[in-house]
Amino acid sequence: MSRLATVTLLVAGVANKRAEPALLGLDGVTKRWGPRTVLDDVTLHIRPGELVWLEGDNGVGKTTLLRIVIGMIHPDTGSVSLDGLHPEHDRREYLRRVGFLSAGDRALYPRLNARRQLRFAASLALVPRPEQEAAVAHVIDAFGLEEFADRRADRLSTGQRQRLRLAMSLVHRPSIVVLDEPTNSLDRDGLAILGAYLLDVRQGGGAAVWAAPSGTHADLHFDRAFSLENGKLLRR
Amino acid sequence: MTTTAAELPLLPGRLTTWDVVRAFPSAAAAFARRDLAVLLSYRTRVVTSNLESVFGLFLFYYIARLVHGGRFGTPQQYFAFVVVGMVVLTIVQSALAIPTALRQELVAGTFERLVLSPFGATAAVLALMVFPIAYALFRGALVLLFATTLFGLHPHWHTAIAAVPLGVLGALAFAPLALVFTAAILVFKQAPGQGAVLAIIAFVSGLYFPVSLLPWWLGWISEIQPFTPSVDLMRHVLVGLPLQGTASGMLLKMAGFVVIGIPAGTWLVAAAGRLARRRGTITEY
Repeated sequence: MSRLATVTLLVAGVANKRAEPALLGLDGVTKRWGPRTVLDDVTLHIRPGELVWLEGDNGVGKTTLLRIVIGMIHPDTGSVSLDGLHPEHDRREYLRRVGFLSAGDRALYPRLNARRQLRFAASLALVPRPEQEAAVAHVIDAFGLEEFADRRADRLSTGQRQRLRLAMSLVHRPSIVVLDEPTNSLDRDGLAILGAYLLDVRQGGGAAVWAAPSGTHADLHFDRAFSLENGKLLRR
Repeated sequence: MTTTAAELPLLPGRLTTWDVVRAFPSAAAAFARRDLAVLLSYRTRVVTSNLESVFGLFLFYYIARLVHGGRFGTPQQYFAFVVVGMVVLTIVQSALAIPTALRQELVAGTFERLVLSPFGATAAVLALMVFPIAYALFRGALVLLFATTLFGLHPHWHTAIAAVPLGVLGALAFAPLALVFTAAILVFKQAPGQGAVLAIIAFVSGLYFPVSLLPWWLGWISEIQPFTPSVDLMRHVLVGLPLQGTASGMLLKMAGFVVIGIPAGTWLVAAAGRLARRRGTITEY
């Protein structure tokens, strides 16, 4: 059985966790860019073990929503909490629980090899030094980076760089994984690896939000799916 | 295969204060290791940047031949005076390199990773200083070595070791200015005037000539910034030139810039980061 198929079956078999308290909570979040209301009274509660699909047309505000979730920008009104933590008042602990992959192909150091970048990411995430090598070895294995772990980032293919970006974002084993168009340049194996990783996150009590443009799909079973239209978060 | 993802637990509970105390120096050291690795990946640049120092020494060695009289009895005395000025300028420039480094992180998209790290953007900005200061001390030592072996400088080796903590103190005394520029970059995405400020400071601080030559209406500027005592103390410990005041007074002035300026500059950077996050422009460039 392929790794991808395994993911699909296991995800479908995970018990319903609706009764558990939310891991991530957004309540009445509104964000305006100038005169335009990008997010209008958005409320979303994600429970441990949930995989959530978020789609919307280009420029509709998906990235803005994700950036509010990860504490990079503030909503104009409304509140955000993760595991009971506030993104500003409990910033360090909040960010320890977040793993974010931005869209695009940036946020790498071209002249450093993959292993060195992962060690740096682990240090930034305040992974204790004695545990860093294990954390790095773990994501090298989980994301299939063994072959090119000692190769400089500017000598990797686009898909390999994307795997490295994912590994860097997740080296600290965050409890919520936030992915902005993660399929960028990933081949079938890369997608299967990501799917397997997300399965492990949900089995460990974590959660994930996967944002993608309208009209795309991923070979994963998501617990809930939403679309963002005119600032409103709509259940699909 | 060494492990599977499920074998490692998701993040455990909160970090204790002790965990943070231990992790922060480790993270700051990671910046230094990263920057060293990046620097060493540009081998030609390492060589050429140090050759520039040698060319500077050549230039001032021959200019010194023209200097007779006044405060300097011999050309060698002026050469020693200006060599230490070059060393201090290298170290001060390292502190002022933070805004440039931040801008590079913004353009490369890597600042996002720093902003989203538990280490934090403000701590990351401070950590960006670690390697440049260490490398500037190394480059300063190389300048002295070249000046000694190629141009006959006679350093006071028995006091020269004091130049290391003095150099660090000098760089840290300038860091608050760098933090102001860094805060400006976070908010406005640019901080024009860094080069001009450095040039003015070098001009009024006695880098190439004694500050006693400055007119009265410029002389006061040499008294209100940390470059003058820094270069004066370095000249004293490296080549034995007499101090223009008391060592304790100069050290106190520099320490004052560090003790007051760095917390104030750090607060400013943190406030700039919060403002940029509120505006949604924190990772824009």
